[in-house]
Amino acid sequence: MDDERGVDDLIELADEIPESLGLSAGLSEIRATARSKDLSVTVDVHGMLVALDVGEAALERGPDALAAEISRLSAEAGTRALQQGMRAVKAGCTPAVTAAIGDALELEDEPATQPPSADAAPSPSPAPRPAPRRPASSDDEEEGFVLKPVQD
Amino acid sequence: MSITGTARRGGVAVEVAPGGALRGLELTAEALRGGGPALAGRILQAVREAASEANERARQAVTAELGVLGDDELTRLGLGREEALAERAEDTTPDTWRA
Repeated sequence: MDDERGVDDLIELADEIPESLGLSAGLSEIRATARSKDLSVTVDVHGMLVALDVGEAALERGPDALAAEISRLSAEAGTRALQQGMRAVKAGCTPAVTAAIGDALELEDEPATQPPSADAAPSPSPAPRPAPRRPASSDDEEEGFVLKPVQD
Repeated sequence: MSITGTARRGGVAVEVAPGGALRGLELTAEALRGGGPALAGRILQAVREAASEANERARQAVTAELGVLGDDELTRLGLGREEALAERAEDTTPDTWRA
């Protein structure tokens, strides 16, 4: 690995993370969807396919083109899921930790506007962001981490 | 580290990274004949199986390097396991990663 940070450095980073963020739970609820006109691919924050809609028209592409398109959409959705994850991390971690994670993921900052993908149908709107499922309960509201939709 | 898991199911072959991100997907013409919903179901099931295998392999690799971690810690790393699928993954996981 190229990472030159030693164990002590990483422990120091880890010590900066507050214990009760609930960050892991927030991340596990992240979903991102990418669509083309007859396909819809949804992945979780790890990029794992969790939902897939294959329209009849998609079948007409043939096996190879269909497989390539599903792969492309899943990568696209995976990047968006990671970007959502980074927003959650930014909300819950110190800048040093956020920067370290961003570097490790080699994730570029989100563009201000998503460039329309060449093959995608003019999808009416981006997938609705998942609403925060953790209720803002009085107990953990102050130190708990709640995933909020980002106001663009 | 390029640990992956693979699964085949009804004309669907998938390869995924630990965590489940798709690394490869191959479909046969037969796989498309059952219609969209059946195909989607087979792909999703194959991804789950392959992810379980990749995660199990990653768990073993991580354990070999770091010692035993708890299930909670591994789940947070994206290496959670489903018991039924993990058994299959264990059966197909080589004992060593050293070439």
